[in-house]
Amino acid sequence: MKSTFALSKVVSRSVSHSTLLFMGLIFLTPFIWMVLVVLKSPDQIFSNPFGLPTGLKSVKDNIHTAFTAVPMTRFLMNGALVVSILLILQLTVAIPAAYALAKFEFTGRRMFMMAVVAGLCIPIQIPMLPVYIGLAYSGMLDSYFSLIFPFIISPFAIFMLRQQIKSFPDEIIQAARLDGLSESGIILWLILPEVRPVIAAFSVFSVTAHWNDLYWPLITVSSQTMATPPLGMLYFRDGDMGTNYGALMAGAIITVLPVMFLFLIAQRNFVKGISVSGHK
Amino acid sequence: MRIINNTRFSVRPHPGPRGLILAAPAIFLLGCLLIAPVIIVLSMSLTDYNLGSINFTFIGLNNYKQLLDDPHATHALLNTFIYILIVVPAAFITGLFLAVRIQAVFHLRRFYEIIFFLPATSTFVSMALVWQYLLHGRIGPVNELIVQLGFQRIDFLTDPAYALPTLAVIGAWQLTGQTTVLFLAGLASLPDEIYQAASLDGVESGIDRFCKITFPMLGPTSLFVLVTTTVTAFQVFDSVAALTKGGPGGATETLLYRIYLEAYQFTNMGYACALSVVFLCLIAALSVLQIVTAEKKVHY
Amino acid sequence: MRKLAHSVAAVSLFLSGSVPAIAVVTTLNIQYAWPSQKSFHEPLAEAFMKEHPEIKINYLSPAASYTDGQQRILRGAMTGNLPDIWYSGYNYLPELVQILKARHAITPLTDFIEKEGPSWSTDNYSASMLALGQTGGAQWAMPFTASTAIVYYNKEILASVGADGSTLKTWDGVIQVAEKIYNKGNADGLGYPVSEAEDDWLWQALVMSYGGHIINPARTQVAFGDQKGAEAVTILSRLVMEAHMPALNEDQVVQQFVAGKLGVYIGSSSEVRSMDQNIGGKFHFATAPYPQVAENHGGLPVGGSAAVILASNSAKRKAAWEFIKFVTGPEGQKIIALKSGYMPTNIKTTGPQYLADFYNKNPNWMTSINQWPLAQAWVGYPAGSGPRIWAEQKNILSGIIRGEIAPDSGLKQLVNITQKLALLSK
Repeated sequence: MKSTFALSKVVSRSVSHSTLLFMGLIFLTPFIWMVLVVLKSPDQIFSNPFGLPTGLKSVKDNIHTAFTAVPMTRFLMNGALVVSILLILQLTVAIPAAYALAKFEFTGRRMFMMAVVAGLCIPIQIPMLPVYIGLAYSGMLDSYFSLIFPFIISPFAIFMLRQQIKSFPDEIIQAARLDGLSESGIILWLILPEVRPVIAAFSVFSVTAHWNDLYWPLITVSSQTMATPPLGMLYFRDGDMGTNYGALMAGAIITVLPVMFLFLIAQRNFVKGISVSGHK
Repeated sequence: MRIINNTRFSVRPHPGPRGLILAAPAIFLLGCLLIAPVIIVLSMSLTDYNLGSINFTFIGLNNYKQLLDDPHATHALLNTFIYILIVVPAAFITGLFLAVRIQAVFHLRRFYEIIFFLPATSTFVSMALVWQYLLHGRIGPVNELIVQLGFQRIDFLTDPAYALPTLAVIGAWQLTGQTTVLFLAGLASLPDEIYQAASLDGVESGIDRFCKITFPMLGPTSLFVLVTTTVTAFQVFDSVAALTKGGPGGATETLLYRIYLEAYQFTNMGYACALSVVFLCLIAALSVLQIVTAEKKVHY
Repeated sequence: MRKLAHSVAAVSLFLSGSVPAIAVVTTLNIQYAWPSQKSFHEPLAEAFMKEHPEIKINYLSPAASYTDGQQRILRGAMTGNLPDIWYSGYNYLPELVQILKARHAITPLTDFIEKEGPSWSTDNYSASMLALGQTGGAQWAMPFTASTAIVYYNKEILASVGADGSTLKTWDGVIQVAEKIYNKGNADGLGYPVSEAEDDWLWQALVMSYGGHIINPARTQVAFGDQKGAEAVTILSRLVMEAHMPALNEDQVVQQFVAGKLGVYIGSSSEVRSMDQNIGGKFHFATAPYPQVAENHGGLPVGGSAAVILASNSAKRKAAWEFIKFVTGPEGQKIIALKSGYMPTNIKTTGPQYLADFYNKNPNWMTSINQWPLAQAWVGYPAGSGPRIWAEQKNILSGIIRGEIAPDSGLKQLVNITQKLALLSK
């Protein structure tokens, strides 16, 4: 009985692995092609799409072009600066607000909650125009401010954090208060460690979304020194004089790497479980 | 002495300014970055404002009347619904399936998470060209495969019948990373004792276990995934703008893309704002509908 | 930052007393469209700043397309944020001038040209080239880049069906060759993304090549509903029915051509350089003139951009003129021509002192220049209705090409919708 059970487990495990690997391969096909493009010279790209490259010269050329034809390092820096400052600000605003919604009574609490849920449904394209006009008339366009400010409020963060904080036992908080801990102390020492998984998950979503954002920077950025990575990649692709595939894909891979790196770091914290129901 | 307990309806501290102070920055920002602009958009929808014009007039509900007669608007609405009907189930089911499989093997879990999350991190500026080539109607590898299997070529992105479903599949490809991660987290928080208790009751096999225990226990997570995936899918824009620009022949014009065209290409701001208001109402209605229906079925 | 630099310069000038004028550096902010054009804008700036150390060239983040750029400029006019120089698409020029004139935000070039001396303009530019920068009877812009639609073809594929470049002189020839190539089975015959393009340039080329006109001179009536327009539209209906043209968008057509699987591609001459690069040595390609309709005195719309001065003070305007003179001068145009496929707008550039040799060795690059006598203005519709009109037109064109709409009924629909939208926005 035991041995057949163990055997069936091995079989089911290998079936799972093969299914996952097969699906993984399908999911990764576009990326595999991207990497191959970077490795090849321009004329090889379409004639032998999945063939292997013949040397290292093309890789060097493509990466070299990606970094020198445009100030790629500057763009990467801008992107990094914007997403990290934005993330910190988002959390600074969202955590106290989520704590308040989960653990406090105050006038307008219900309305605020409704506004947060409503905010979840509003895509950035809708408030974009009034925000743009406001920034234009106050002369704040084409700055880090214009890239960061409109996104500081994140209903998604507040919502997710609130769910998690709700399940934190009230008596611990009460005890801490009786011990003389201030509210900010409570947030820092009690709440923060508890919501680490949510912060990890949210960080990945926020950074990914804003790092890859093309359309808002396209509207607000006018000087080259403020450009973000997606804007940088436009240089290699347009309908005017043709596309430099090798450099474009090199740029694309370069811009994906920081996000994947962040994902790896954040992954360790995912596992604790994003308890979205409020029960433990 | 106050009785402190741990039920869902635990006693909260006395009402006072503390909660308000903590929430104040968020309330303020919510007001000026989301609520106020929406109100402005609402009022602009009652005018004929054009980008670049110096003055505008109040025209009441004319924009909305125009909307009802506008075949583009109704077409965009239909396209958006079809898109959602494909993307949401696909991303939901695939994400659930992958999460359960990954949970089952447990080793290499982080490796699989990375693989399936990678599509969600890609930027469409470059992915567009990759997809256009892979799905090329004449020289694309996908069509080569199809032809070898004995079928007819498909013009994935340029045949009006196939373009929208193709975008939906690409959308599902991207969203699956998100749903997988969310389901994995949900699965990880399920207590082991239940499974042990169930196996004592004779619930052993995978599918049985899944239907009787895992899925029902995932109720809250499923609801969250469903709502967020629907909202995200409703907001589809990047893939349309990068891959098809609404074509061929308007087959892939979704609501948000239509709004973008009217506002930024045709500079018809007032009308675009009216479309935006309709968009917001629909999304809100859809979310509320989902929450209300699911509330009945989800146990905590 | 600019203001600070100026103040510092001014103060140091004042304090230095007897030291002769430290040159005050004038910075010009320049806006262009199509990010890939960076490849010649940067060398132009470098070359210019060497000769003019007192002027600093600063490029703003490029707009994604002429349409996108036009929107940016209009938004900038609203908020008082205009660049000093903008390279406007030809088709948007009349409308741009109209709007900015009303706000006193654009400077006419007539005085500057006069000051250069009596023979300067005729020495450097042909009358038809200069005309590209004129609207409302005055010279508001200098032509900066110019291209026409040309035919690219794969020599080997054509040879395999017994054809060569000369077979492609007429539309009948092109369609027949395409059919033969398709029937052979290894490749497709023709790619002409007229209904997939971002703007109506290729469509206007088709109409104009038949001797048709887009709009009447007074700009009050659509003009392509006549016999010539009907002939042009009939070609569209034959593209799939006879030539078996595959359904592809612009990027995909080019992908297929450079992969060696498409016999004929009709597109902008500005792509000649990247064609060279992306094809490598895989096959031999050549260029030929756009299919002509013999005696009809047909024309072709000129694509490209022209430089306008939007600077607000006279020192910057002078500096802007110096820069524009350079980039449209023989040396500047040489830089552009070599880095792209654009035709030089300056007569001298094709002369022996500059690129005559190069063009002799690279006949592919000459084709557009040889077509120059046919050049006409790329028409822009009144008052910003262009993008909306094209959005409607391309759907109808797409329907005609796919065979879902008959040519004559399609033409009527095109005329009606264009008339309605162009008039509405008046």
